[in-house]
Amino acid sequence: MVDREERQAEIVVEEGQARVHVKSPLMMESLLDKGLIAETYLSHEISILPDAHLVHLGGLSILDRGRDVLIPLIEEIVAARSAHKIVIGVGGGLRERHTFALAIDLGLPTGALAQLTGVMCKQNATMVYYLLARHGGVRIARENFHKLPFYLASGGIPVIVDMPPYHLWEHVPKVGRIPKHRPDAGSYLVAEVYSCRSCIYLKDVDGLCTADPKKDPAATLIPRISVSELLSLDLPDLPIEPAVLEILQVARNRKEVRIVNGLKPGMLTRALNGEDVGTLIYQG
Amino acid sequence: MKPGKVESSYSGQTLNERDVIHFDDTGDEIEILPSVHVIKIGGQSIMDRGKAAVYPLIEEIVANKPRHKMILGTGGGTRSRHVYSIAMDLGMPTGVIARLGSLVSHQNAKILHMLLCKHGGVFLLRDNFEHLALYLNAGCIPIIEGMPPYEIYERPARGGRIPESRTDTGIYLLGEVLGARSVIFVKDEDGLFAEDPKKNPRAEFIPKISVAELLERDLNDLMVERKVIELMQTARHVRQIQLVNGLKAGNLSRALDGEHVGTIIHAD
Repeated sequence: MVDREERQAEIVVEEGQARVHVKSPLMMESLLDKGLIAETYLSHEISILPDAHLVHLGGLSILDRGRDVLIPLIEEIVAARSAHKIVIGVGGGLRERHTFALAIDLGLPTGALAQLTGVMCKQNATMVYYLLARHGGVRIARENFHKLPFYLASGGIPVIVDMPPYHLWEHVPKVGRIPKHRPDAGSYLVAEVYSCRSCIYLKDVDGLCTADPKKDPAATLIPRISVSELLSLDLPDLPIEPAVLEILQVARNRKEVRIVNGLKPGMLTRALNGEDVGTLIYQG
Repeated sequence: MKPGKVESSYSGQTLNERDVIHFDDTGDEIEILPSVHVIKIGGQSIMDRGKAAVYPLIEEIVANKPRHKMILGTGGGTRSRHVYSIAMDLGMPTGVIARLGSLVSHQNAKILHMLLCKHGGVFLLRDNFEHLALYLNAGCIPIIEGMPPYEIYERPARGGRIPESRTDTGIYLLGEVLGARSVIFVKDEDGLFAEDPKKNPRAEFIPKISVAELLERDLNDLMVERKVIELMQTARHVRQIQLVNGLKAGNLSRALDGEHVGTIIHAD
């Protein structure tokens, strides 16, 4: 973008103005100028944690089902650890839904709903941590994400809270008051910014189906689909938050996500090994 | 859906917009702090100018204290631009850049706090949000960093690299969730121009414009983050904002009193 010489650290006093600048290619620029924004897009991005898989445990679909589902999954995660670096993200589930319903009934705004429900993910992450503790599970807060390489290198299995910290600053949706950025979006944003090797959602369905498989037995599994194809199908429901699809379209690093059935033993391992199981949703 | 009747099923599992009808959203949404004004103090436009711009503005804020409850939020400015440049050169993704940028508005909030301390300025951490009412009732002026808390959870920037949600967005959303009386952006221009007035002194001044019109005009440059304009479309409380020139004495006071002194952008 700029000559090496120009990059010399320098303090600049603006002519005729009592304003001091730090010299940089963006100095005195409006960061909202379209030409400038487009220019910033061109340069490369580094891959921060390219070996790690981000595995999301659904709240309603996995955690809320208790030991029958969770214990075999924990065993599978522990077994896979020798071959894979895994970061576990955990969703909120039923108590999150209840909080939304209660808070909406009381008249609280979207930002308040977003701020209230992170604790449900925290509870779930805490339980997953206790189950994993003897195998090297470690529950880490966002403030400690910079220690992820250490935990992964020492064979640990980090467990993170997936509700993203949009809090009071959550965007107000067009319809209703449910926050747009919820745990699915949170785990995907981590996978994207860290360039994780994969982003795998464990849910209670085989993947994305043409209809709700629990209501329509004729529903068939869609093994691979692009975001724009998926949006054009205009499905009445999705096993993943719509915000993930929006973010996929602007992603620069992790340009696909996979949904697999966490109720079926072996599916996670196959997904970690790069096999085509469940549904792959990709940018495009 | 009423509390206590939560069902578990595939349908509604991800709470899509269509599922939201399951939730009773017909009731009114409360206003958390309806009497408060949320004021953004620009980074490059005000803070970086130092004493010449900041001192008179502080005097004006203090003079308004008996009549208005105010929360101040700060922008980043030239140090943000510097760290963004270096971070982009090093290949950092948007989420990391958002994290770095947040620290400059944090510094500016602390600077403003020290200047306002003797007048009841309190530095407000986002985690101390629940103390807001206490501070305001005690006649204090809470000061908060402008960046929203998304950091590495910031969405990748569309067609760019610098986070789209920066301090204007953070301040606007704070005002919206509080149901604030007004959200005022204090910068160094009289308001919105069709082009950057620093580059073209003859640029057309826009005293009042709707969000729809602004989106349609699709200006090459703007005085307020595009994300704010986008978010205003779905706002429930703060349906208009005002951009005012903080270098001209009295502008902020008049805006606090509800006068039209700069550019008003409205969603209706």
